[in-house]
Amino acid sequence: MHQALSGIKVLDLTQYVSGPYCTKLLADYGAEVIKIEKPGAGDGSRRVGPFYRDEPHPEKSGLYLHLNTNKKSVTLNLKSGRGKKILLDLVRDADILVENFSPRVMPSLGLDYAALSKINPGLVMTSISNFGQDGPYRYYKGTELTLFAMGLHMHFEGEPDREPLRFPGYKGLYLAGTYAATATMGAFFGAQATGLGQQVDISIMECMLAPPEAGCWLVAYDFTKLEGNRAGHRREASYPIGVFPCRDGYIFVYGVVSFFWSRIAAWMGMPELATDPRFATPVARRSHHGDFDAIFIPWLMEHSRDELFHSGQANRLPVAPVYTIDEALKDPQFIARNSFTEIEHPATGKVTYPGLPFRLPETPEAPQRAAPRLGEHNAEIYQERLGYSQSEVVKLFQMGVI
Amino acid sequence: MPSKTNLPLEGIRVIDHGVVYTGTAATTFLADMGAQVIHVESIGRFPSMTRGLVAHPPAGLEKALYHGYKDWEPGARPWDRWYQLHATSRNKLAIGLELDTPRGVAIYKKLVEISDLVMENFSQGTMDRLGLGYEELKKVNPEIIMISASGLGKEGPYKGYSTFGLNVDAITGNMALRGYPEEDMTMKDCSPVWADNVAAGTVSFAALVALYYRQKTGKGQFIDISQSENLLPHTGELFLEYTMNGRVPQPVGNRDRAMAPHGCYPCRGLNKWLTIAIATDAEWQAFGEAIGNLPWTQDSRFVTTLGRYRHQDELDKLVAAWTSTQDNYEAMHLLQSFGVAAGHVISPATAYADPHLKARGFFKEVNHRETGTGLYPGMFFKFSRTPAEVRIPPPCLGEHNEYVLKELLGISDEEYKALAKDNIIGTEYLPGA
Repeated sequence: MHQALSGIKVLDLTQYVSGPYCTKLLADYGAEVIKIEKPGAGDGSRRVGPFYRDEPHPEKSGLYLHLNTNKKSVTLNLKSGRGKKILLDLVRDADILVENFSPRVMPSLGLDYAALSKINPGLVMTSISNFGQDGPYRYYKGTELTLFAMGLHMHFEGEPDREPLRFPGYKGLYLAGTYAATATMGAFFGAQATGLGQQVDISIMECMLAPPEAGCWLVAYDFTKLEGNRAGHRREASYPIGVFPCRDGYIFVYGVVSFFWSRIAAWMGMPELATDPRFATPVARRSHHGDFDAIFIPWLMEHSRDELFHSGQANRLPVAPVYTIDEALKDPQFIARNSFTEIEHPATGKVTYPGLPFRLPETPEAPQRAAPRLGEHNAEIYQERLGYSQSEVVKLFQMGVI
Repeated sequence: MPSKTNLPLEGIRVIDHGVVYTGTAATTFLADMGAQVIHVESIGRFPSMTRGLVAHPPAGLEKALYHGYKDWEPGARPWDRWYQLHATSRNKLAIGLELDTPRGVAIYKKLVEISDLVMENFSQGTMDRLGLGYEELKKVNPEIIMISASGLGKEGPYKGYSTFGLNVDAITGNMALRGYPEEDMTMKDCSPVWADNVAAGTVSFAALVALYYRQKTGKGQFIDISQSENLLPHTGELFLEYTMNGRVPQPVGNRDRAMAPHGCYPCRGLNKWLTIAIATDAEWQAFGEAIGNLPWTQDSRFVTTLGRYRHQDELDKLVAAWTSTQDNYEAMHLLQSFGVAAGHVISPATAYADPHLKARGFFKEVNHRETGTGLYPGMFFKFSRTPAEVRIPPPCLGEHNEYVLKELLGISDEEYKALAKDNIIGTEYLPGA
């Protein structure tokens, strides 16, 4: 067996971020993922960028290139009768289908789960959408920003006297993609055992509300009716915590656990601080955090970020360097673990990408196929797999089906 | 004890050593899908945060310090009344077993023999110190899968380094990108710990990938998961911005690279906010119609996406002036009815009151021995054929000792009594824990 998920066949009707990240996870661990793209345009993320060398081009979008590694691309017009027939031929032979259209799209194409499961009762169909397949908001629009707001995390991020903040990038959509991959694999186990597939309904909003952190905030409310709020950059209640300056950059210090205090004093080479009445208890530190800053920050400024990171860790303190993106790429731990990977694509040459989220020692060699060009695998899938002749494929192209 | 379900992971048994967020939630996802997850917990050493900050909080403190306990009351069994346990441990069984003792280890190994997967996210080296590293477990069950999750990974130059979720944010470049544009790096928020949400999903996915591989080949394996590594792909396009174009991404706050207006705007009332994201000119026109075609919505500078993008500082002020007169929840529905992406900043109370979540049955009623009835956030997925429910409330410490030891492992009544008497197993923390 070549890869852990080799042999699993996935039809990918997704675009932008959440769906493509779900199918990327399946593809990166060896499933065959056939991405169905709209003829001419393809996945909308091809127009999002950032673009290689700032050249706007559908094959040069960093977002598309990152999210579609190890997949095959075919073009197919699902609105045409022939296009639908071809899709159904592919469904017959698939284990998993993932889509992230608005919930009205698949039914309007006559391709809802009821229709697809008639052709292939074992099919797992994962539908990722903003708010889920049912409920009053099911057709509401959503973007990373608005979904993040409705996913509770925004209520807690930012300064208390300013507007709430989202997280950088598309964190909510990536999270939904990750969770969708878990639920898809779960349902696939059931389909293997019973021969019966099912539809997996993933609401991006609920992905953000369900996980450990939001789940804890919600249960805390159920228990104590406490709403919580944005705490901002510094939480005096559990001082010291936060980003601090040092000689050549910034260091993150997490000193909230009470027994860390004596370790901090040892780290600073000032053991007398451990018993200093101004700082000896969490309550005292809360009142005297300014006094501590007056000692701590000058000490930090005498040391480099790397020194502080390693000396802090030697004192069993969870401190970490605060990297910018370019610095993270050079981190020795990431380099030693091959956390980044170089992938060659005809439109960009070799580019460094974040690699696999984890390695499997049984199948350690990560596949390295670049994201497909639009329709790159039409011949392989339509001719070799489905048996259309070259001239039929030409005809389908002329008819706007592929 | 556990009843038969139709759930897809029925028949898979997982030993769970989850602490805090990542590990406990990852195995809950597997339990939600039908796996039998057995949380093996020490009774001699208290897991800080997972079941409280300390085993026995002192009496007579100010009320605020009991936050996290049901009704602010630690009660006789505080560790069973703590919110984190309740949020992340449904559908699991729990045994209290002392692994620091040879008899505890012997029982544990019997459990490993009949299990499929072991998941732990202790501080590094704990399992090895207990003599329960992968190489040892493999001797007992050659097909066992073991997942070890840590902030930076078990191997590499930072082997043994300790981290919490926010350290992961710092070292992956995420923390530098959080926050408001142009603000000082020392102003970063240190509250939400996003990395643990991601890791919980990754760990459960890795478990299923490894189980599938074992099903095909009969081979188990040890998976060393670094939370930092698994967060990197979630920032993929920002890394490519640098590796393709040499630009270091900077914090953009709530703004987007193409959409405008794109922000979080104040509404009527205290701490009420509405997010709005307008992608196209048609959406801009719809927005204008929705709010009654106020004169500034017709301003020629705002007609095109590029114009709105260039003038967004001014645009944001105008949008905020309108939202300030509005109720955020009603304004969301108004804008959505015109096809504009708008979402209110939900709070715990408004989440519980939300009609959509109610209609979908997202919150689940749970009856618990120690805390009574509560309404808890449910699953992130809905299965059409085999719906997932809360089958087992979050387990009390050692609640399933008898079932696991006697029924699953065949330990005699007599031996069970001796184990309890010698504090190898228990349902309460030992003095000093």
